[in-house]
This record gives sequence, structure tokens and C-alpha cells, in this order.
Amino acid sequence: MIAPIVLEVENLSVDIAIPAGTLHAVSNLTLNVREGETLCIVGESGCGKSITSLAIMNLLPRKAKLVADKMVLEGRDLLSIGESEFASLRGDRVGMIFQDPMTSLNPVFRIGDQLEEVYIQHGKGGRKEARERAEFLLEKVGIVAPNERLSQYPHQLSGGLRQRMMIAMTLMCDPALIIADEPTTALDVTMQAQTLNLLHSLQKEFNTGLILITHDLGVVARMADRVMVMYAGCAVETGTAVEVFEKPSHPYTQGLINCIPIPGRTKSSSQLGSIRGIVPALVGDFEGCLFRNRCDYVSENCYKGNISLNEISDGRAYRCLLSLEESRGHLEIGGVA
Amino acid sequence: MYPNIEIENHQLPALECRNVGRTFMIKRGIFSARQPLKAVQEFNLKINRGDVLAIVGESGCGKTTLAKMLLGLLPPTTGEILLDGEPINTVSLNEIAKKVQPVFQDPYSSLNPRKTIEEIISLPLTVHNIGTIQERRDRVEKYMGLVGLPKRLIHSYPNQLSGGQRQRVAIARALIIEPQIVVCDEPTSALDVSVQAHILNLLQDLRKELNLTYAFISHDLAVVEHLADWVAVMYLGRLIESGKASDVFSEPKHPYTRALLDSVLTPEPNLGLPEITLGKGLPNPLSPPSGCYFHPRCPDALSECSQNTPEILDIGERLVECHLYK
Repeated sequence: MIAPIVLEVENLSVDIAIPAGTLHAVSNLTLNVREGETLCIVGESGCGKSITSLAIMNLLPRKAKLVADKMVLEGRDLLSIGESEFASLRGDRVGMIFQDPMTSLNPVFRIGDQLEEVYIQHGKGGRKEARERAEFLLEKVGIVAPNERLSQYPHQLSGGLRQRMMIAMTLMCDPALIIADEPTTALDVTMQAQTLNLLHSLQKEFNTGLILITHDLGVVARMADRVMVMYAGCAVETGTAVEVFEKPSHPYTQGLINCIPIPGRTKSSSQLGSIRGIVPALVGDFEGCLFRNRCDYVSENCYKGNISLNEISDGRAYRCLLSLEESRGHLEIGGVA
Repeated sequence: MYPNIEIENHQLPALECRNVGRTFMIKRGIFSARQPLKAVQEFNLKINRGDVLAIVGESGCGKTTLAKMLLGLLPPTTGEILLDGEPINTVSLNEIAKKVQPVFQDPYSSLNPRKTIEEIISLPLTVHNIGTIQERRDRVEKYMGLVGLPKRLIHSYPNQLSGGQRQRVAIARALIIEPQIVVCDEPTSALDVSVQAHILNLLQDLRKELNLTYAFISHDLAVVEHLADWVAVMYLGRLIESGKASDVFSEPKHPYTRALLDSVLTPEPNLGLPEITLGKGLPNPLSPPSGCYFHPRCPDALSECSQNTPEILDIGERLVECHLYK
């Protein structure tokens, strides 16, 4: 049986008015997440991945304008509800984990108070139940002596512990969806692996949908059920992790994968693959493919019209004029070093 | 330009650390006495000319303190650092700077925003009074070409440049006085993957072209494996394993090195997440554990690990500080 869809977004666009014109931060993004499923949004800085997550949570800056055909969370239409209703959803049905746990925890309140506040604020129960729930979740995230930890302040905890606290906090109200924006970027490698392991097992246990936003292809490969590669505000390739990493179809995805050294596979002292040029400015109107200036397979047609997503199969698509054979052929010639 | 050095003729390592230690006195409260924090201790290391030595470890393990000492910015409290066989504390900072140059992590904060690219890159020449204005300009242009910066950017300011271009400026600035050793402190961790690949390729090319020696500090083991000839793994200020990069990566000896390598997430979707059995985070360096510093987190800890400090063992071309290999 296929798990029910938690979040459905269709044709989401976010425009931000800046002095130089309109910045198209996100254009025509379609995504959905099912219960217990992990969707990874991957891309370089400035590709719109964080703006996407803020748009879903209705936390966009005031200058940003959101347009979407559909935004539905658990059957509730997010486009028609007001800010107060959104506030009651945040932390309750949608949890969020940010990159730096030190800036998302309040330094002057005890950890316990901050965890319990979420629970009480959303009317789940009183202080006693909240305490019990907090202790239960702290044990779940692998913290020994939860009682002691709950009476500590954020600065008394290490980075890894703080991020575990954040995970526990998002789970306080048993949300349907967790959005994690670069949750392990500030952590050391050993902590990163442990934190991801934890997030993964808890997500499966609580059957929560997870949107994981990251720039780290290693994290994506190991965590994702499905992957969405973003470039310049557009989804350029979607598919399951295995499909995207083993048969990348968009030249950008291929370039990205060639860019990273892989222990045991990339020959040391050889050249890494690279993508020339830089991300284009997203201000003003633009026609054609946004990646064309950096693409090795650019043709005249790349300058015209709107490039639509090429559907390969259900959930698997790429935004490029090259046919599947052509782009795969290129990959084999270019080769993963 | 760079003399073509025959390594056989130069037995002296480019840089050598002999029992180097650095202790900071930390004051924790108004009334408490100052406590010693041993950021680096008993550190022994050699870097041969033309080699790339990578120093890896978690945050707080003393990598950056070590880098500062190698640059002569921080005197070691014990031991000595030899630069070309000469103790670094007998050489003036100016002389050290001619031989050792840094490239830092964040190209956004390491470049003066009020200076043009030309001023930034030529600053070492100005400081050391090298060349006339025209000669300096020529040299700046030459090095901009070398690191792949277009000449038209010579009068630009850092805020007009992308992150990758800024890091190229930082590299050009480091190389312009033709140093022998470049200390790179996490040079690519602030950059996007596609830009990181450019910078890593550039560092590789420059090394071959200019016969440079790199001390490369990083926490990204995939990058280290790609670039380094030698690896030194640090834990809580101590060198716990060092050796040829290929050996350490194919057969890590110390349990900590093994855990570090297991934690690397390669983009292979079929492998799933690694199980790491390290437990707790880094202990407090103000009161390090007894015996082997790693024993509270070590999956293979023996009873003696909590009592005796392990000695450095020499296995082949490898140094390991662990009781398991006695």
C-alpha cells in the first residue's frame, strides 16, 4: 500500500522585489511528500532550496510574493488560511530543524522549558504531560539522564546534543512533516553520521514525512528516498536516490556528481570534474534554460522558450532538451572518473 | 622563480615539529584560578618538500592552533618548530612570512573589503619591499593568470567577486612572494561543491607547477584523500595516527581513525547510513580523560586504556598512539 501524501505543492513560485527588479527565487516547483518518506532537496547556495522551505511554512520575508496552484498539508489548503492558523500548524503539524541549533534555541531558557512550551502552546496537555513527553523523547534521541539535561541551558550542551534537542523538540507534538534545513552542516563528521541515523530511525518510527534540505550529496545519497535537484530556483531533476545517483540525466546533476571526490573511486592527484561559470542572476525575465551558460552540451534551442520537465516515469523527470540517450551518452563519454 | 629542487639533495624536511605543545591558560570565572588548556601536546611531525600533509580531526582538536604555530603567529609553549632546519623562534616573522603563507577558510572575512584586488594581492610585496610599482603590477597580473582570475578584475573590490573568485584571490596573495609552504586551513569548506572542485584542481596544479608544500587542514576526509600524500589524525590535541595517506585510508589502525573514515558519507545511495559506535561527543579539553584520551568513546577499549597513556608506536611507515598495537 502506498502511504498517504502529507504535503502536496504544485507550481510554487516565489518572487522577491529588490531594487534591481524582480528576483525569481523559486519558479514552478512541484513536490509531494508521503508519510514516512524522505525527500531531499539538493542544490548549491542560492538555488532557492531554503526559500522553498520557508514558503511551505509561510515564513517568507515580507517582500516576497508567493504564487502557487496548490499547497495542501494533510488535506488542509495552506493557501487559504491566515497567519494565526499557520502559527498553530507550525510546531504542531510541521516541525522545523535549522542548521545552527545554537541560534534556534533560546539561550536564556532551560532546555526543558523550551521543549515543554511547544507542547503546552499547542494545547496538547498540561505541564506534567509535557514533561513526560519531553523525557520520553530525550530518551528516544539517545540522551542519558534526560531529567538532568532538561534543567540545563543550551550553552551547556555540545553541538551534537543541541541538534538532538532540536530533533526532540520538533517531535514533541508528533508532526506529520519535518522540514530539516541543513541539519548537520554545523556538526563534525562523526556527529553528522550519528545525528542522521537518529533522524532516520525516528522518522520511520513516528511515520513522519521528511523534507531534508542540503548541499551535501553524500547526505542525500544515504538519506533520501526521493531526490529533487534544484538549480536557479527550478527543479532540474527528480527521482529516487538510486536513479539520480546512478543514472543522472541532467547535465547539472552529472556535473555535480563528478565534482566530489569519492574515496576509493576518484583517483587521487587526478583532476576532479568541474562545472564552469557561475550561477546566473535570477533578476528579470529569462527565457530558455538557466544552466545553458555552464553546460557543455548547449545548443541554439537552449535559448528559446520554456524548457519543460521531461517525464521518464512516475516521479522521475529532468528539465533538459537532450533526450535520455543523448545525456546518458555524454555521461559515459565524460565518465565518472 | 622557483628553483627546481631535487628532493634527494635536500634531506632536511621543509617543516618539522619536535614535541610541540601549546597550552592556553583559561579563566572560567571571576574567582577561579586559571586552568591550563592543552590545545596541542607532544606533536611530532615532518613535512618533506613538495608533499601534501593533511591534518584531520574534529572541531576543537587543535588543528587551527597548530596551523597558527606553523605560521609563526603563535609561539609554542614547549618543543620547537623547524623551518628548513632552523628553529622558527629564531627567525623574524618577516622571514617566516616569506617562506610560509596561509590560505584561510572564509574568503569573505579574510579579504579586506576596502582594498582592490590589486592592493590585496600585492600587499605581501609591499610589506617586503619587493620590486617597483610596475614590477608589482606585472607580478600581480601574472599570479592572477596563474590562479585563473581574469585581468579585468584587478581594480574590483572583494564584494564584486564570487566565493570561488575570492578564494582564488586569497591563493594568489599567498603565492605572490613565492613561499615554499602554504598552510591551507579548511580552504574549501565555505564553498559550494562545484566551486570546491575548481579550487582543489587549482591547488593540485599549482603544487606541481611551483613545487609547493601544503599543510592542508580539513575535516572533509574525501577531500583529504584526494589531495594528500601524508595524513595526520588529531584527537584532543594529540597526534594519534599518521602515515601515508593511501595506507591510512585503506587500513586505518587507530579506532578513532576508523570511526572517522566510517562516518564519511559517499554519494552511494545503496549503502545506507553507517552505524557509528562512538557514543559521546568530544570530552572537555580542560579536564581530559585519564590514560588514553579516546578511551571513553573507544569501542575496543582495554582496561589499561583508562590508566596508562599509550606510547607512540612505529609500525612500518605509520605512527599510532594506541594500546591495541603493542
